[in-house]
Amino acid sequence: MMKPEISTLQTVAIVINAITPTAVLSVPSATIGFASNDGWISVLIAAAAGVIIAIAMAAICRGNPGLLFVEWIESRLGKTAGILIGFLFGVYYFNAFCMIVRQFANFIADMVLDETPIVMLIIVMVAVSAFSIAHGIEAIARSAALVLLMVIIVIPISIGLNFDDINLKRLLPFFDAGAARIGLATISPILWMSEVSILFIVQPYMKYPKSVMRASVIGSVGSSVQLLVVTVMSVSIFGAEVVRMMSYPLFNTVGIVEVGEFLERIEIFTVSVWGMTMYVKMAVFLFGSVHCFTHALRLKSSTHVLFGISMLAIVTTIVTWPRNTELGQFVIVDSVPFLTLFNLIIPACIAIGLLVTRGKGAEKEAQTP
Amino acid sequence: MKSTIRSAMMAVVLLSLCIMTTGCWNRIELNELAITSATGVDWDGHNWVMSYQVLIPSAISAGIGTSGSGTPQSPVIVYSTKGKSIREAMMHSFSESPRKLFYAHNRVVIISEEVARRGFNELLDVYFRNSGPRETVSMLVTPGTARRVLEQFMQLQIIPGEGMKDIILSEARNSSILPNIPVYQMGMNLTGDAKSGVLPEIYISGKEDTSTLDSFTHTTIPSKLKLGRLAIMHNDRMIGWMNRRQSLGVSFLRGEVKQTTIVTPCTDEQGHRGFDTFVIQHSSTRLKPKLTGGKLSYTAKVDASGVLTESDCAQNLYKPDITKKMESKVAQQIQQILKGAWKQGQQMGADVFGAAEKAHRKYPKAWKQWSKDWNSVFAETPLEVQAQFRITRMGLSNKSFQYLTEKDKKG
Repeated sequence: MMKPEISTLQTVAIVINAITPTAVLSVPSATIGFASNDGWISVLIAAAAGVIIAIAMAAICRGNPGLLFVEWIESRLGKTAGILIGFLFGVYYFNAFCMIVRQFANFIADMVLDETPIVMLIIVMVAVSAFSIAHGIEAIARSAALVLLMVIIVIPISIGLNFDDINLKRLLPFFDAGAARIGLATISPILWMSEVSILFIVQPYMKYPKSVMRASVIGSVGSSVQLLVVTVMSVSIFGAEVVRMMSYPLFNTVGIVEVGEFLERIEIFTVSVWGMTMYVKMAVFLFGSVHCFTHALRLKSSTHVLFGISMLAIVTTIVTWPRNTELGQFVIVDSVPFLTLFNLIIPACIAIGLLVTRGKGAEKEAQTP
Repeated sequence: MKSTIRSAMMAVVLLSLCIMTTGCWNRIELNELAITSATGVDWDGHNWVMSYQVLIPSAISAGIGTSGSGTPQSPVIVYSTKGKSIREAMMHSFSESPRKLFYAHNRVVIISEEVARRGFNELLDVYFRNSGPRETVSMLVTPGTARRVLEQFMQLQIIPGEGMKDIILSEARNSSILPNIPVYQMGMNLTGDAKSGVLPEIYISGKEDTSTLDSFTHTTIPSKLKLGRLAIMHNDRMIGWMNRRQSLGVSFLRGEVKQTTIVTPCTDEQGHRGFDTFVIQHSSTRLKPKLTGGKLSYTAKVDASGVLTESDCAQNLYKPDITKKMESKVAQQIQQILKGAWKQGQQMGADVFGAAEKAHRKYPKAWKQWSKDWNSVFAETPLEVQAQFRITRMGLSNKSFQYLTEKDKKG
C-alpha cells in the first residue's frame, strides 16, 4: 500500500486546527482573567514564543529521514526508548483527546442541546472522530484544509458584523496590569501553542518533508493570529471586566450582532464552523493516540486499536469529570504540567537524544542506498 | 455473490440507523412553546415577581381586532409567578401554563423602580448564565409595577413587547435623549471603572389602562406607553432620575447623539420673540481629561452640524452674520445642556459619562489613587465645554415666513 501523502498547506491546516479550537475557548478568559485589558499583550508574547517553539519542533522533525515517529525514535534512541516515548505520547494524545471531547460536549450542552444527555453527545463525537480516522490521515488533512478555508472566511465577516461594537480604546491603558500578571497570562497561550508538537506524528506523512519548517511556522503564526483576534475582540467589545464572567466570550461577541431586525442570533454560524474545527482537532489527537499505541506496542491491526481506544475514551471522558467546572479547572490549571511535559520537556529530551546520537543517524543514512 | 449479500446487509443496517438519527432527542414542537415577547421584574418585599407577556400565535395570525365570526382575541396574555430567586419564579410557570416559556424572542425586560432601587445583580446573572435569554434584550425601568406595563396594548404594533423595543430604538435613533441599553451594556457599565449606568424610563401616560381590545374601537386610546426620564444606577442600584434635558446632556457627553432637535429662542428686528428649531444630524463629542497641578478637569469638545427645520422670527437667512448668530446660540444651548447634565451627575454621585474610563486610560498611575474613591474625585472635577455648531442647510426656504409677512406689512 502506498504511504499516504499530505501537502504543506494541509499540514498548516492540521497544525492550526490542532491548536486553536480549544485555545480560542480558554485563552481569552485565561489571559483577560490575569492581565485584564492587557490580555492581548500576553497573546502577542505567547505568539513570539510559539514561533520559537514551532521552529524548534520543525528543526527536530527535519532530522527524521522519513520514518514514522516511533520507528524513527527507535532507530535513533534504541528500542526501549522508542517504545517508552511512543507509549507516553499515546497516553498524552489519549488524555488530550478526552479533554477536547469533554470541552466540546460541555459547550454543546451549555449552548445548544441542554437537555440531551452528555453521554450521547460524547458517543457521537468520538464516533465521528473514529470514523474519520478509519479513512486515514489524508481524509483528516483534506477536511482540515477545507475547514481552515471556512475559518478564513468567517473571521473577517465576524469582525465586519461586530465593527460598530468594537472600541479599541478599551484596550487602553497599555501595561496597566503590570509585568507579573501579563507574564502569568502568557502561560496558557504558550502551552496551547506548544501543541505544534503534533508535527512529530504528521511530518512523516508530508509530501515534501523538508517544508516542515514552513508549515510549522505558518501554522503557529496562523493560530496566534486567531487567538489575538478573539482576545482583542472580546476586550474591545465588552471591556475586560464582563469577559471575566463569560465562559465563551468568542460566541458572546458574535451573539450581540443585530443588523436591523432581520439579522440576529448569527452566532450559530460561528459555532458551526468552530464545531468543524473541533472535529478536526479531535480526529488529529485520536489519530495521534492510535498511531503511537499501534507502533509502540507493535500491534498489527490499527482498526482494532482505534475501536478499543474509542471505547475507552468514551468511558474516560464521562467518568473523569463528573462536573463541568472540574474540566474548567483542569484546562486552565491542571493541564499546565501535563502540556509542559509532553509538548516541551519530552520534545526537548528527544532533541538532546538526537544530538547525542547524531553520528548514529548519519551512519545509518549513509548506509541507506 | 458474497459481496452482494454484504452490500445488501450494509444497506439494511444503514437504513435502520436512519430511524435513530432523526436529530430529535428532546425535541420541542413549536406548539409546546410559550413565546415571550416581554418580561417584567417586580419585587414584593420578599420574593421576585416575574411577569411574562406571552404571544398567542393564532390571535396574531388572525390580526388584532379582526373578529370574523367570533369575538376578537388578545394577541398576548400576561401572567406572573413568584419565587425566592428569579429562576425559581420562572420554574413556577410550569404549574400554570400549558406551554414551556421560551425567551429567545424576548425583546424587552422591564424592571420596576422598586427592583431597580433594591439592586438587580441576580437578573444580570440570569442573562449571562443561561443560553436561552439574550443579552441583547433592552432594559427599561418603570415607576409602577412592571406587570402593569406588560398588560398595556400598543398603538400600531400588535405585539407590545416588540413595540416597546421599537420605541426605544426609534428614540435612540431620532431624538437621542434616551439610549437603548441592552443587558450586556448594563453589565459593562456597572462593572466599568465608574460602576455607574443608565436605563430609560417607560411609563403609562393616562389614568386608565389600555388592556382590553375594546379600547381600539375608538380613535384615541385611554393610555399610552411612553418613554420618560433617565434612571441613574450606581453599584447595581438605582439612585435617582435625570430629566430629559439632562438625559440629552448625558447622550452628548457619551458621544451617542445620532440625531436630535434643539430649539433656541430668537428675537427679530421688530422685537418679536420666537423660536428657531434645528435638527442636529451629526454630532461628535470628545471628552478629554486634563491634569493641571495635580487637579483633574475635563474638556468636552462638541462638533455638531444640522439643519434649520423651523423659524419663527423675521430674519433674512441670507445674511451670514444672522446665520453665525444662530449657530452660536445652538452652541450655547448645547453647552448649557452638557453642563446641566454634568452638574446633576456630580450631585447624584454617579459618573454616567464615561469620565472614569477616560481618566483611567490617560492617567493610569493617578487612577490607582482616584479609583479608591472616584465619586469624590468626580464630584469636584470641573467640566469645560467647547461647542461648535454648523448649519449645513436652511431647508427649502431661505427666508422665514415671518420675514415675508413682516415685509408685506411694511410695504
